[in-house]
Amino acid sequence: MKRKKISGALKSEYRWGLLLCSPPLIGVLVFLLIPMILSLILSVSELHGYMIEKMSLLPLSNLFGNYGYVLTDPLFWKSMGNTFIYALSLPLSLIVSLVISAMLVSIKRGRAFFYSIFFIPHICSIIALTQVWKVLLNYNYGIINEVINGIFGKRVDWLGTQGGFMTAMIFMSVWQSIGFQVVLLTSGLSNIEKTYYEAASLDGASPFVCFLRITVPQISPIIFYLFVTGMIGSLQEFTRMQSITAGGMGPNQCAVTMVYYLYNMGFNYTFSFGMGYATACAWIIAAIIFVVSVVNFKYVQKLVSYD
Amino acid sequence: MKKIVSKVLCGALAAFLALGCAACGNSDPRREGRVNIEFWGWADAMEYEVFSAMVETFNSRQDEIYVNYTKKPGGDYQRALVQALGGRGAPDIFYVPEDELKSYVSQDYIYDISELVKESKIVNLDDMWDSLKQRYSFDQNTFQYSENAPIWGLSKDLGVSAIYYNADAFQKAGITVISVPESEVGAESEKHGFYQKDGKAYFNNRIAMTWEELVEVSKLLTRGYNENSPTLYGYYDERPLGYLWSVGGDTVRYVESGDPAYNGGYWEWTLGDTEAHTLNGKTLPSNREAINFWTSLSTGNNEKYGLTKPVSPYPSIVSDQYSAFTDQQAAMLVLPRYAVSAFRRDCDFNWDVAPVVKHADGVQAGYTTSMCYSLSVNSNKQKYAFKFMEYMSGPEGQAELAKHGFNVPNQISVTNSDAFLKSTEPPFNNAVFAEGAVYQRVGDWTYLPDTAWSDAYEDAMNDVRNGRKTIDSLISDFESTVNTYLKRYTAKK
Repeated sequence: MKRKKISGALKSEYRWGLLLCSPPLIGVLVFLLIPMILSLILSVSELHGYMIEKMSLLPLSNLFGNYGYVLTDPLFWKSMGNTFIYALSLPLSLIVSLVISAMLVSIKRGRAFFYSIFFIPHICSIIALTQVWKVLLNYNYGIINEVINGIFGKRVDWLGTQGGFMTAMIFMSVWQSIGFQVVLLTSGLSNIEKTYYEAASLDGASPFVCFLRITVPQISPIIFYLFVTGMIGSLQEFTRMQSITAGGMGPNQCAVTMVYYLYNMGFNYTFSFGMGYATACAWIIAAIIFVVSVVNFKYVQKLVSYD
Repeated sequence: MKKIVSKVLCGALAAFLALGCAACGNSDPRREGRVNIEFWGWADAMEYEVFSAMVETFNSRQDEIYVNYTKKPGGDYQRALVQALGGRGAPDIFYVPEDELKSYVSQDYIYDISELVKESKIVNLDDMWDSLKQRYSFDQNTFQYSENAPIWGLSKDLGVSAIYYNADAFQKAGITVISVPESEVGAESEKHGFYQKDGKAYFNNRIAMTWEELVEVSKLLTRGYNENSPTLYGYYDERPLGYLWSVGGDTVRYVESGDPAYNGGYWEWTLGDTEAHTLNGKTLPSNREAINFWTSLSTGNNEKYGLTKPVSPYPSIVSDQYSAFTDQQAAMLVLPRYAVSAFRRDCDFNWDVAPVVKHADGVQAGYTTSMCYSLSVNSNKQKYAFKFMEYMSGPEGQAELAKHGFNVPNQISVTNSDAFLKSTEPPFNNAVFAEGAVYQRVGDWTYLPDTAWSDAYEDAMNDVRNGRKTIDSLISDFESTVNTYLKRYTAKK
């Protein structure tokens, strides 16, 4: 069979195509693929410090020693538990955002003002916000305890007890994330056809039934997107915990999330653990996030309506 | 018109941008023809002023070396230094906190200055406090001190601990403060840090109180016990080390072992040991009992108020401790000498210092803090940088720092001189620091190259101090993890 001759114009097009694709391809290679391969090698090596030339592969008999140690460290499992408890802030924030969005949609004037108010925490630095909340939550002089003390005659040790600490962190996360969620959900709600509600009301459906059977399915793709991205973000929580504890572990080690654990092992405990150990931990965390994402797409996506 | 306006604006913008470049670099003409040394450290405003003046003195009195002093933000210092040491652009000479030195040595960042110290005509190791020599001289494989071990840094100073007490509060609580060394006290019944005689209470700031005396005096200064107390709490001490060491205990011990899994032995957590100690034929509390005493100061042994204020969740934030004293919540506070400059600035009441407490039958013990000047292994100007280290760490530099209320000088002779002992500002009882420098020890945060083993349980200790957990449950919760972490330091790779 004769090979089809490629015309000069097509050849030129191929060359231009390759040339224009090369910058992002080089970027993926240099900043993604090569570092991933290097980190895989590092995860089966020892490196105490940051000088890569001092890296040494673990002996073959104990090649996956770093992984084994992570999986047998009680603190790692504790950090996983802490992370998933913290991730409860996601469904809470989605519910709160949905309620706020439903209320905002019915407002004709001043909607932009409310968008701005809700969005401000989202754009502020987490470090700055946690320092502010640290003062607000202070046992002795925080304004929240002053109010609680005034009403109930008692103070709550928000940052000194495990229950108080996690409640405070979940609340902070919800407060900071509703801004972005409200913006997306409100735009979704605004695009729902009014005819659906008219038809439903003609059939005698109550507002709650309309919300459940029309509103939620219509914006379910947006909720799903927020859920997946929010879950991935929650499982990588670190900055808030490290900032509010000033490098400590929190009451009963409840501030140690998986990434915080990884950070401590790689950057603070360079001698006893080091970068090899931290990289193995990073791969385990990536696997966990991958599994959670797969579960989301396989099962949670079934609830999404794309009509 | 529009064109003229836009040209003028562009010219102004260009000039403004060029101004920014004018601030780049140090344009001191004395840099020319001299060996330029980069020196990094952190400092508050007052310390920066004093150190800048000392650097200026050094630069002015000779024409061979120019030292450029760069102040780095304290909170970011370690990260910036480690990045610089691992890459290019590392300073020649820099501060190293005592708890980081072993880690830096293990990563080959630090230059061994043993030969330079031997040849030096200024640095006299015989005139240096033992705890400083042991802190900065160790074998880089075992991290243990020995006479011939390499020297990795010269100490900047020594932070000796003392009890800072509110003299006005003592007076209001009816406690008479006296200052008589034990050797000059006549009556045996008065050779105490605190005693009662003829219905009056006396506090002698030259004699260490026993644990029982501490509880007695603290009750007079704690509102839960004495409703007329001028302070809420009598006492505040963040660290348990002094109590452990006083009875002959410690937080960890090294166990020699022939186990091939380890390099000669391994470390073991001993905080929860229940075996009593013996000293001079007397039986002393076990480690667990010593820790229990310290934590009971907070929980008050099931009393409604402890003698110590409730522990904040993150007590490593020193400002919380400072404010406990400056706000007159606590009448007594244990801290190293580095607190002096802040208290001189912030205390609007009379205060002074007293020795840290000891067990009645035990030894006098307390912790010290310190940091050192070290040289970068990548510097090609180590001999020149060392000359500046000699100046700062030697008698002249130490005497200058002593005048400004900083830590205890690293030189024994300077500490025992009027430059340190005599002061026109509080504390006046500086003999406490000079005596403490002899018996106080380096903290357990320097025993090993990092603090993974102690960080695992330290925050949980607050739950014990606040009465939410017992020391027994803390030990059982963390013993396995801490010992596993400790074994990693000497495990064969």
